[in-house]
Amino acid sequence: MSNKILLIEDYPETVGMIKSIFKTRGYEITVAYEGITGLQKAISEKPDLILLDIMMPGMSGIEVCKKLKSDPETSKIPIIIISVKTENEDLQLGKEVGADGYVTKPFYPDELVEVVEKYLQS
Amino acid sequence: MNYTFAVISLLSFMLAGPVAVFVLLRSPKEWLNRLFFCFSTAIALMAITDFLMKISNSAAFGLLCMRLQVFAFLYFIAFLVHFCLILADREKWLKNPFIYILIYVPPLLMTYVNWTTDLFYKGVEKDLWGYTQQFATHYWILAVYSIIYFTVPLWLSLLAWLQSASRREKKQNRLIFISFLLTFILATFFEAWMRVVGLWYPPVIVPITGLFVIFFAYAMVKQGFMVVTPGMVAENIISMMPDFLVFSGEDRKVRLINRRLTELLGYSSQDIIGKPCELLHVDKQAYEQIHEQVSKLGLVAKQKLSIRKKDGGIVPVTASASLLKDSEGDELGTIFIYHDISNEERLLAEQRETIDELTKTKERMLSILEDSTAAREETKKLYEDLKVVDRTKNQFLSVVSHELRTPLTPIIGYISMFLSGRFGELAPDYKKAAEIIMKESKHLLRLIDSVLDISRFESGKTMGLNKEPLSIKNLVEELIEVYKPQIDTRQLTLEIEISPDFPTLMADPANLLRVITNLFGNALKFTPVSGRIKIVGIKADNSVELRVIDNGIGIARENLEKIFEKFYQVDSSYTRATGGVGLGLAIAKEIVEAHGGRIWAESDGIGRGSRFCFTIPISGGITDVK
Repeated sequence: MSNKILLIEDYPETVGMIKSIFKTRGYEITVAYEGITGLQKAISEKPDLILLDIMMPGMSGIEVCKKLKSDPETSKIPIIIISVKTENEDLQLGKEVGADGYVTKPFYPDELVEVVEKYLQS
Repeated sequence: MNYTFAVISLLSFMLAGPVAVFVLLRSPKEWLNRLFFCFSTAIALMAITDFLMKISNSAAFGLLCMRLQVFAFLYFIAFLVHFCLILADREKWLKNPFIYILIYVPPLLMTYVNWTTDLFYKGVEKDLWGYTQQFATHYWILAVYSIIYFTVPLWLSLLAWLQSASRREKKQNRLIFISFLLTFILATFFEAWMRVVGLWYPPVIVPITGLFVIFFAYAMVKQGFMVVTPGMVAENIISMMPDFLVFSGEDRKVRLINRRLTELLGYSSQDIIGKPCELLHVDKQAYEQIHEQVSKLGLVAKQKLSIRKKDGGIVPVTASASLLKDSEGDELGTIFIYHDISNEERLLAEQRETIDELTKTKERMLSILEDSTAAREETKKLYEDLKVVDRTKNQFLSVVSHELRTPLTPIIGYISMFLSGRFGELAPDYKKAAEIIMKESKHLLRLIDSVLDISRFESGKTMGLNKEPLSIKNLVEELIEVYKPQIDTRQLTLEIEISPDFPTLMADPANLLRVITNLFGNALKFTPVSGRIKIVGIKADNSVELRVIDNGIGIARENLEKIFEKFYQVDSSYTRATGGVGLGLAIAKEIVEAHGGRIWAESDGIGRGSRFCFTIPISGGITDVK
C-alpha cells in the first residue's frame, strides 16, 4: 500500500491541520518546512505523493516542482500543489511546471483527501 | 495792265515756301518730310518765277522765268512721284537704282529741250496779265508727259489709301489722294484743255499747285503724319514715362526734365532748369559717385539713393544714368532716370514688420508650447507616480488577500473537522458555535475574494476563463441547494422555468456560478419576507438568456446602468447590512462580457421589483482561454 506523503509547507498550523486530517486514515506524513529540504526528502524518503505549498521563504514551490519533475528519480511522484494563489493564471502555471493537482487554500478536509486518494490509486 | 494772276502767284509762293520749311523743320530726318519740302519748294519756285515773269519788263527776262518755271514744275512732279512711292511703301522699287533714273532724268531732259528749243512754247508775250508763255505746236508732248507722270502719284496714293492699316492712316491717305485728284483734274482742265481750246486764257497751274501744297500739308500735319517720328516718340515716352528723367549738361546743370518730375516732386521748369543737378540729391557723395562711374563706364544701373522734393520731402529711388555723346563722340551730358521705389520700400517695411510680428508670435507660441510641454511632463510624471502608487496598492491588496488565506486555511480545516465529528461528537452549544465560526469564516473568505477581485480589476488584468461544457440547469439546482435554508427561513416562493431543451454551453462553470450566485444573492437580499423569486431560462437562436426576477425593492430608472459600475451601491447604508463591497454586479458584468454575452437590469421603478438578465452565446463566446 502506497501511503507515504511528503508535505512541503512552511506554515506550522497548516502543517498540523493537514497531519491531523491524514493521521487517522493510515497515511505516513513526512514534513519539510522549506523547499530545499523538501527536495532532499523527496529523494531520500521516496514518498508516494507530495503536497507542495508555493509561497515559501527561500525556494518557491514552483522551483521545487520544476526540479522534482526534471529529476528522473522523482519525476514519477505525483505532486499536488496546495496554495493561496487562486487565480486561473496560477493554476495554469502549476500545470506548466508539471504539478498533477492543484488545491486552493483554504480547503475542506474532504476535498483534499479526495484529490490525494485519486492520485494514490492511479 | 492787270496783275491779278501775278499777285495770286506771289501769294502762292508766300504760302508754299513757309509750309515747306515748317514741315521740314518738324522732322528734318524723315524722308517724307524732306521730299515734301522738295516738291513744295519746287512749287514755291514755280510761283515766284511766274510772278516775276508776269511783272517783268523785258521779254528776255520773262523767257528765263518761263524756262525756270517749267524746270520747277517738272521736278515738282518728280519729287511727288518719289514721295508717293515711299508713302505707298514700295520699298522693293526704291531699292532699285533704275527707279531714280526713271524719276529724275526725264525732267532734266524735258527742261533741256524746253531751254534750248521752242518745241513746247514759242516764247513769252505781253498781254493783259503781263508776260505769258505762248504754246508752240508740240506743247502736247509736255502736256502728255505731265499727265502720265502725274498719274503715278495719283494711283500710288489711291493704293496707299486702300491699303491703309489704321483708320487714322486711311483718313490721311484719303485726303492726300483727294488733293492729288483735284489738283490733277483742275490742272488738266484749265491749264491744258481749256487753254488749248482757247476758252480760258490765263495759266492757273501755279495757284492750283500752291493750293495743293497747303491742302496736302494740312492733311499731313492735321492727321499727325509728320508727328510719328522717333524723335516725337521719344519725346512722348519721356513725357509719359512713370520714372523721373533729368538731362544734365556737361556743366552738370539741368537742361531737361520730364513732366512726371514736375508733377510728383513739385518743381516747375523755372525752379530747376539751369540749376545744378546736385540740388536734387540728398546725398552729395552718392551723386558724385554716380558721376564718377558714369564717366568711367558710360552707364550706371539702379543705384539706391534719395532725391529731394521741392517741399523738402525725400523720395527713395533707384537711379540709372548714362552718358550722352554725339556722333563725334563728344560728351553732351548725362541722362538720369530715377525710379520711385517708395511703394516698394513701404511694402518691404510692412513685410519686415509682418515678419517681426510673426517671429514674435512664433516665439510666444514656442514659449507657451514649452510651458505646456513642461506642464505635460509634470502631469505625466504625476501620472507615473500615481501609477506606481496604484500598482503598489494593488500588489498590497493581492498580497493581503493571499496572506489572509494562510491563517484561514487551518481555521476552516479544523472547524470542518470539528463539525464532521473528527474529534468526537460535539455538545449542542459547541456545535452551534462551530457552525457560526464556519459561517463567518466563509464570509471572511468571500471578503478576501472581493479584495482580490478589486486588485485584479484595478490592475486591469483580463479575466481568464476555463471553459468546459456545462448545463445551466445543474448550475441553478446546485445554487438552490446552497441557498435552500435561507429561502425557507424567509418564506420566499421560488419558481424555476428552464425549458427541457435548454442547451449545454461552453463556459467557465466557476465564474458562471459566481454570476448566478450574485444575481440570486441580490434577489434574496432585496426581496422582503414571503416575496417571490423566479429564475427563467430562454433559448434564443445562438445564445441563451437567463433571468432572475423578484418582486423586491426595485431600482430607480436612472440607476439601472450605474449598478453595474465598480463599487456602486444604490444606497450605501446597504453596504454593511448586506456585507458587500459593491463589486458583485461589476464582476458579473465582466464575466458575462468575457463570455461574449450581455447583462442588464430592468425595473418598473422603486418598490416594483427587478429583473436581471444576461445572455451567453451557445458557442461559448469570443474570448477563449489562452
